[in-house]
Amino acid sequence: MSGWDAYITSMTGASAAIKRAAILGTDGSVWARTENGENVFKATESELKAFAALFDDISSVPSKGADIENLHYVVPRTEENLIFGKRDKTGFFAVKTKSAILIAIYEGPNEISAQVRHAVENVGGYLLQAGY
Amino acid sequence: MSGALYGGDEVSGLVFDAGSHTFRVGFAGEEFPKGDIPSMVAVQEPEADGDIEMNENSENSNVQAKREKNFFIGTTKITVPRARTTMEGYMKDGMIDDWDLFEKLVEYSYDNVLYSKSAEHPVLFTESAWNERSKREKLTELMFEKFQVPAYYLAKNAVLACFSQNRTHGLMVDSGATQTSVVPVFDGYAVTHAVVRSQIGGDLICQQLENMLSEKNVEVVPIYKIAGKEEVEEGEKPKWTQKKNLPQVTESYDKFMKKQLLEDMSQTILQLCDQAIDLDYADKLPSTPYSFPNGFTKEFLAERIKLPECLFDLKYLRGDIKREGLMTVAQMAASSASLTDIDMRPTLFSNVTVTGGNSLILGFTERLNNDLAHKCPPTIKLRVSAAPLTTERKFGAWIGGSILGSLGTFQQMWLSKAEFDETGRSIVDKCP
Repeated sequence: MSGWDAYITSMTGASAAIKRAAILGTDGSVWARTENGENVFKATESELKAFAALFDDISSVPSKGADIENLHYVVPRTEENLIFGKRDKTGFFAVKTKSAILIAIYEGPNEISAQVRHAVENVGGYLLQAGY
Repeated sequence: MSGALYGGDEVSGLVFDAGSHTFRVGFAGEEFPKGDIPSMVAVQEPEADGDIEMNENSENSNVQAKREKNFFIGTTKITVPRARTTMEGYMKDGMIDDWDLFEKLVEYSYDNVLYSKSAEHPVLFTESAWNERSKREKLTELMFEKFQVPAYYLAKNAVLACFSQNRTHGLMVDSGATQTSVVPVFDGYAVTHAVVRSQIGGDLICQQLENMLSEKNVEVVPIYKIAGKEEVEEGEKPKWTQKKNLPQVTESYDKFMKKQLLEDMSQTILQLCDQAIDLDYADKLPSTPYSFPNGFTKEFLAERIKLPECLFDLKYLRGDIKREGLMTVAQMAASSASLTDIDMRPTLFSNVTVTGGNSLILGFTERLNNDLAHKCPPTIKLRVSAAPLTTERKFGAWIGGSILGSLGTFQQMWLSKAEFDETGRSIVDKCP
């Protein structure tokens, strides 16, 4: 589905720190993901299904953390439709729109996170406007 | 994203740490805040009628137009007895509540403490981990629009206190004047969902002290009433003379001055046992004398240790204070950790950090260590640390802000005025 790939590129283009990204439907099915070389977004369908379900009970997420690509991330912060996870020097931002979930995994120090968050939220905004 | 890159050396950022007991202000990069302004402001109602010319206009620079209220800020001014003057605080529950008063405090800081123009310096503000969204936005708007600051950042005071101890992880136990809170900080982020707080703190201790003194029939006479005193033996009735021509002060002023005395007393004599209290031990404790400003001196024995015990054992809370919702410090620390991700907990427990003015009570850290050790699973490595210096505990968050504000890597994180003009007050969401 080349349409969705364009959104992936716009996220990775917005911030050099974003290493892997994907757009999923709220059921966990993958609409697009980064595929070049070792930057393949490795998460399995079942993992993503469980991840998508996290947004249903967002307030309990910080106490449990979240798993992506079989790695456990600590979740220090959530906001409405946003999950921010951290693991040492990497982290992820996940934004939920009406029928899609955007995930961007980044590597870098804490200061970079604002940039990454902005990138993901921007793309999320376009999707919402487009009706997704 | 980062509009302007400030050369860290040229423009000095300012750090404001708003607290319920004092308001700390100073320059980023410095070791301690320049100003430690009491958070109580003396507000004087205007004269009812006529004779306004009699007011002492030369006294201070904060005199407003004659029909409006007068505001007196700063230790030297608020302790002066005046008629029709009430003491008002601007903070409630760890968050800014009275914005007008807060604005006056900020203006006072710029003019009388920092001698700087607000439009020339980036400002770093602190907030509690449970600050409400509307308040964060309001503060952002106030600083950009009223004070025209060129750049701004809002940081959680728990995270900053952690930085001041050279750490990025920690279970921050902040025991202050109005409340004690436990905030887990992981990798520089405050885990806001796991914050636990309780209304026990320095003010509660002062109240307990007041109760104890009235039970012993010791009269608490604040210093402003005293004109002179004579030396008496320990325990004897004091002989002092009242000042003449005192203005008709309000009850709120009288209470405030009494509290100053109680605070001084609690700092001098109180102590905590490093385990759950043992009455025999308490009775054998050496006594400490305290001289009141009216000349009365008394030796205090077991009360010294029983009073602050209420922080760790609610059974020692005397008087009619509602106990629901109150927790002891150790309980709070344990429950806060249990609300976090299980992977985080070992890191948090090996980095428990104590901060806040109230934690300076002798024996606080040791007692917390002891009580927590009982509550944690035995396999967990528990380490409770605390800044050694008094000033580092009282100004922990401010010092962290000073460190953060002067870091080279932080300069790209400031929110600039241009960004605010473009996006509006919700831009504060960028500050984690």
